[in-house]
Amino acid sequence: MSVIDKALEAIEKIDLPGTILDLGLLWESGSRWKDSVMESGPSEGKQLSGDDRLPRSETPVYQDQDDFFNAEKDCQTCVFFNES
Amino acid sequence: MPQDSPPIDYIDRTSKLYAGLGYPQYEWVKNSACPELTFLKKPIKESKVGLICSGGIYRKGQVAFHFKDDISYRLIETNTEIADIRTTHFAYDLTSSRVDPSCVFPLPSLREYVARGKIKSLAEHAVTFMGGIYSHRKVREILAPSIRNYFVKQEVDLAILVPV
Repeated sequence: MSVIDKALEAIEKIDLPGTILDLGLLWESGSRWKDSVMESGPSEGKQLSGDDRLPRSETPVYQDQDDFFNAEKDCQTCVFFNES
Repeated sequence: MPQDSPPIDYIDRTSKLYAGLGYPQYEWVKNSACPELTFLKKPIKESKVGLICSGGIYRKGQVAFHFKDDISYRLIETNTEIADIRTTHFAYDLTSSRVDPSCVFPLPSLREYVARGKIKSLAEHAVTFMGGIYSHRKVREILAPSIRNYFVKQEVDLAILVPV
């Protein structure tokens, strides 16, 4: 059963707020990857995660340079807000 | 629960990691109660389905997202070719999503569900936005109500949120 099947099943069957259904899926390579995720300090067999997020600015970041040149000037399907 | 190891305690690890990097304490959202459940009014196979994805997804020709608390969203026609889908984000590895955007934007799968009669139809547009918005208030007061209103206007029966 696919993840979407499970999601649709959850929508139909869950009747208690906060319910979590396990998909029953596991990574083929096991779960050792969990050891180093967001790990703050080096320890035996582990690597410090650090901060791998990209710098944050208010300039749109395009996947491809062509996307920048092809972006519609008056994008009717882009919804922006005057934030408050 | 068929887990081969316990879930990662992301909140604890993130707090320690960022403290170690010299960042101020992150103010995690504290929800005092679970959201109220809304039950379906009709079977899923008779339902019009909306798709909401937070992975910084845009369509070729649209303005891309920026990385600083961007609370805008994009309406992507649900007949869009997957080859025209792009991803941009400051906080997750985009390698796989750029090879196969459907891993964060399962539009092809949902179209197949329509073809197989598992759902009746899709909304005219999928809604995509940039995850990693640090202002809980802006999400709750501006972004989420606007998306909800859009889907209500589209007469969507249920929506699937795919977070990244």
